[in-house]
Order: sequence, then C-alpha cells, then structure tokens
Amino acid sequence: MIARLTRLFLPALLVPPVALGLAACGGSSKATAGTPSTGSSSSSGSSSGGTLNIGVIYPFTGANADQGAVGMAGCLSGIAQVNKAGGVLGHQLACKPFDTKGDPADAVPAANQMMASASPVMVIGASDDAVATAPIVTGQHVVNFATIGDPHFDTQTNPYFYRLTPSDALQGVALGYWAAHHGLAHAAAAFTSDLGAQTSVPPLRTEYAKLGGKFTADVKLAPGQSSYRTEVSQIINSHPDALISEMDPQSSTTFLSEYKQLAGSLPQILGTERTSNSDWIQAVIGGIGEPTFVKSIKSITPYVSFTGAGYNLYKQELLGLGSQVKNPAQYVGQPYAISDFDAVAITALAMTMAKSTNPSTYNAFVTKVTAPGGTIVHTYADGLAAIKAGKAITYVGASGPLVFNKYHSAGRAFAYDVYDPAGKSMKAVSVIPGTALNGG
Amino acid sequence: MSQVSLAFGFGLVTAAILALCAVGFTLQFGVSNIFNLAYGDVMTVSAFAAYAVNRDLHTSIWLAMVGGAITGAALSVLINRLIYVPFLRRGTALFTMVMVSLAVATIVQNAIQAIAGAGFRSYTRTNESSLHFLGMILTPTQLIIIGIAIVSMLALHLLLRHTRVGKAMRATSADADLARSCGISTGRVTTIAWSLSGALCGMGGVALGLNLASFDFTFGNAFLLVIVAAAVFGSVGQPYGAMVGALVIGVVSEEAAIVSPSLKQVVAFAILVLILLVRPNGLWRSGFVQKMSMAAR
Repeated sequence: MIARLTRLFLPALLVPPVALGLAACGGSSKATAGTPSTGSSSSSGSSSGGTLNIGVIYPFTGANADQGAVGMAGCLSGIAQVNKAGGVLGHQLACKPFDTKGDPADAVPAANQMMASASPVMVIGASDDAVATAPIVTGQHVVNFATIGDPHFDTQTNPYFYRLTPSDALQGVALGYWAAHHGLAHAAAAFTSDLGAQTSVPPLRTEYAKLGGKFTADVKLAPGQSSYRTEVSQIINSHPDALISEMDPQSSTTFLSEYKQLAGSLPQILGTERTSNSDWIQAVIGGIGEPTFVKSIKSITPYVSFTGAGYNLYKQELLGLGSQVKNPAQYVGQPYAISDFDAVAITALAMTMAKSTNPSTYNAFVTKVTAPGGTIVHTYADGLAAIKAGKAITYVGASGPLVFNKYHSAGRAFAYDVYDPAGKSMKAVSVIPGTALNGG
Repeated sequence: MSQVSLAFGFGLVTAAILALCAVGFTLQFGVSNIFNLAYGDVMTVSAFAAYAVNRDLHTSIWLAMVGGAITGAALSVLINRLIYVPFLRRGTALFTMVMVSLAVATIVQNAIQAIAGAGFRSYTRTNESSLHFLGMILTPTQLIIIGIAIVSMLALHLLLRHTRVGKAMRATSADADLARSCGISTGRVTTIAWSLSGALCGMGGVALGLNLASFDFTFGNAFLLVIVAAAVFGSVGQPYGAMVGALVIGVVSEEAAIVSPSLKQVVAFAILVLILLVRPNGLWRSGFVQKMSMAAR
C-alpha cells in the first residue's frame, strides 16, 4: 500500500526539484553509452584509462531484494577477474546497482536513471522487471544480459538483448519431465499468481499430462497472504504424492509450515530455481525446520557443473570480494550469480575482439566469443591471450557453454537439486539434459 | 470434516490477528484524527523486538509478545509526540498528515532494513499437535492468539465503557475541543490512547509473525491494506466496528478460498465496497468520511 501511495504522490513531489535540477544543468549534453566515466573520453574505447560502468538493475529492496544481491555478487566477481587481468582495452570495470524494487512502475525510472547517470557499457538484469527495463536499455543500443524467464522473450529479436537463463517454459517442461519420470504421477501444483511463477505453469501442465501425470490439485495462490490453510487443506485432501510449486519466500514459508502443521509432514516438494535462492532457503528453514527441509525440499534448476577452471575462478573471485558482498559464500552455487559473472567476461572478450567498448560496435562479437568451433577458453585472461594470438575463441565459463540461439537465449540443461546442510545451499545430484526436453 | 467448518476455524485465526491490528489502527484515528500509514511498520519493529527477546534472551514467545507490545506502545507514542503532534499544532490538513505518515513509514522501514538486514526471521516454536473440534483444526498457539484477541477486545471494551480514562478517550474522539473545555487533559488522553493502540499493534505484529512462520522488514506494511480495509469496513475511528470488520474479512476470505484461492481477497473487498455503497461511513456509523468532509471544510 505504501509503495502504491508513494508512486501516486512522489512524482508530484519530485517534479519541482527535478525541474530545478534540469534548469541548473542548462544545456549540458547527455553522456553517451560507452564513454568512460572518468579519464579520457572515447566512445571507441581504444584509449587507455577511465572506468567503464556496468549497470546492475534488479530489485535491491522489497520481497525480491535477494535478486539484487545475487546480481551484484555475479557482477563484482566478474569485474574482479577482468580488472586483475589488466581490464579491458585499458579500462577498469565498475558495477553500479540500480533498484527496480521488484515493480515495473519503479523499474522504469530506475532504468532511466541508470542510463542517464551511469552511462553503462553493458547492463546486467533485470529478472521479471526486464519487460520494463530492457526496452529502455536496448533502445539506447546498450547490450543487456537479463535473467528473465518470461516465455515472451523466447522469440525476441532485439539485437542488443541476451538471455542468460532458460525460458520459464523450459523450466516448466523440466519440472513435468522430472516428476513424471520419477514415479510422481499424482502430484499437486501450487504456484503464486505473479508472472514469474505463472509462466512455468502451462508448459508444466502440458508436459506432465503428456507423460501420464495427473494433477490431484492445481491451484493459483495470491502471494503474501497471512494464511493459506484453506488452500492447504484442499490440497491435502487430494492426497498428492508430491507438490510442484513456485512461490516467493514469504508465501512459501507460510504455505509449507501450514501444510506441515495440518498434514503432520510434507510430501516431496519440487521447486524451481527460486527454491535455490538463499533468502528462500533461510525463510523456509525458519518455518519448517532444517530436518524437514532436507527431507522434503528438492528443486529443478538450470544446471551448473560446479567444476572446471571457469567455475573455480568464479568461486575464487567471489570469496575474495570480502566486505563488498555480504556473506559471499552463499552465492558459491547460485546459478544466476554465475551467469552474471560469465556475462561480464563475455562482454569484456567481445570488446577486446571488437577493439571497442562501444556497445554498437562490440555487440556483433558477443555471439562470436561464445560460438562453438574456436579455441576453448575458460577465463577472461585465457581468452585475452588467445585473441591477442589471433585465434577465434569459444568461451566456456563458470556456468558451462553459453551458446546463444538466434533469439539470443542461452541453451541449458537442468539439474535436480537436494539441500546440502553443510554448504547451506541446494546441490545438483542429477542432470536433465537439454535434449530430453521438448524446448531444448 | 467439511471444508466450510475448517475454513471458518482458519478464518477465526486470521480475524483474531486482524482484530488486534485493526482496533489499534482505528483507535489512533479516533483519538488523533491521523490516518497512520506507518502503523504496519510499527508492527514490523515490534515483531523484530519480540524476535530479539525470543531468540537472544531465550524466552517464550508469549513473553516476547509482551516485549513486542511494549515496543509498539513506546514507538507509537514517540512517533505521535515527536512527529505528528507538532504538525497537528500547526493545523496541518488531514491529507497532508497522511503524507507525513507515509514519510514516517518509509523512514521506519528503511531503518529496519539498515539495522536488521533484509533476511527473514522466525520465532522459536515448539512442535505442537493440532486439535480437532467442532469441525475445525487449530493448534494451541492459534487458540492462544484467538484468546489474546478476545481478552484484549474485552479489556478495551471495559476500559472504554467503564473507566474515567475510557470515557475521556471517547469524549476526545467525539470532540477534542469540547473535551478540553470540560477539563479533560486531551494531551494525556491521547498519549494513553497511542500507547494502548501501539501495544495492540505490537501484539498484532508478533501474532502475524507467528502465523506467517517467518517475516522480514516488509511484512507489516504488506498487511496494512487488509488492516485498513477492516477499519474502514467498521467505520474508521470505531473500535467495535473494527472488531466486526476483522471478523467478517477474516472469515469471508477463508470461506471464499474454498471456491478459488484467487477469490480470497476479491470477495472480502467486494463485500467492503457493497457495505460502503449502502453505508458510506462504514458499518458502524459516521467516522472517517465525516472527518474527511470536516477537514475539507
């Protein structure tokens, strides 16, 4: 409610100071994307010095604040490897956070502010809010790596937009595929009504039914309710052998603790990538207790092998961030942070190959540095050396191969995760290859 | 066991929490004429204070709830005395006061995040078995919450009807100038009312935190819309109206969830709109709308 009222009245309150500020600026021209924020200005990026900004646009406050923390963890560890290798074309990189508050109405001014104040050479984010932010970023011909799962982006044709994570449609297929192939033929589905959760539901229903599964209950819940007991009791009465679900941390905790209270125990809960987020884990463990969490909570998430030179470097840079990130160890297995880390390396390599930090110029090289067929490199430093040696490269980073299709979506396999109490995170125990899924 | 009786039991729990919160909210408006949008964030602060008592001092959740009530009372009185009263003395309009309370809400919420962080908290709870009776399933904790709400409402009723302070509160609520001219210390009465409403707010925050199983720095604010709905339903400024509003919204929303979970809030708010169409000042009697018209004049 406060957020709604703020949106209603804040613009009116801000108009006078903003107008005064603009008047005071007089005829100052707007910064161009690709222009270093300090030092010599050169949109071609061929000169040395100056810092290049990366805009990190996610919710940093509100119910999805964890997304911002994940994005910054990925970006900061990504620029750490680039800066340690001497930067890109003589420039150091910096990550600049901008808060969408998890709401498109707040995301638009945040994106405008980012483009005006930070003049980013690339942008990481947003997630669900990318519907609002991506047109602003790409409209100024700046490369945008997003982690949105919305299937509307499955066939997008914007040349500056790249999706690092699989479509929610594929996530839904993977959920249905895994459940049906593991003897869970009578599961219940409970998803909150927000866009991020609902986009997985239609492909889940289709895949699950196709493979012989039948939902005992299929409910759409309003998020953030003070109680879900009535809905929970209906699901319990349908006697499901598992519960396939995606909800925000608060709703999940309330729902699952009430389920446990009414049924005495939980069935297997099969969640999505949201289940692997540290805030989700922390909240739900608080509600149902760690032993129940270990026993019941599983997830299907984009697969990361957590091995190899790329991943090891990510882990090393992440843990070396110190106080820049609160408790960096919590992001060691975070697939989205790892994807954002790779996005920084891909961009830096594309800039190097293009010999330009100007997004309009280096954009054409983003798909080239990841395309199969070149010399495989796992780090920015190795890629830099290979490019200087005149070789074509294929960057296979911390998250494995990121081959963008013609719609700029990265293909991925999925993993079945269980909770690892020692690492306090979800851990992959088996892989669902992309080829096994219809959309893969 | 029928879904209707089950949902009725669940609705009673929601109604009990809502009653604690909505009565506190409406009491503040009744006495001070302030539509306090910072109310939800005071709930959050109280829940965090109770968490500290519960987890750090290793006390029972019910003792922690007392800590939450004291925190809610103290913070509410402070906010009123240090922020709202100076504005009211300058004759600030009702609408501007809403904006002031919005600013306070934003400040408090960000302060909680800065101090306590964005993570989730859960109170220490013991495993308890559910009790089955009259077609309902409730836990001992939920029964205690319902009991606390009933006792609080009864105590408030006795205070308002049968004590000098209560009568002074009602007089101040009806006409503060007239009450002052009759020798009532309206300042002192207002402080007592804010401490009482703050205590209810604090208890409501802790009860809600218990019911949700975990909470973060935004949770009280997220619940504010339903609290305001219950208060408006029963006529803002009318504690008895807020009790009825809480009961209706709590029970109806759970019963509606039987048909479809997405109808949960739709039906509750549809009833609110219908009631306001028939009785524009809410179920109880003239309250908020009348004060708004007076302020507009």
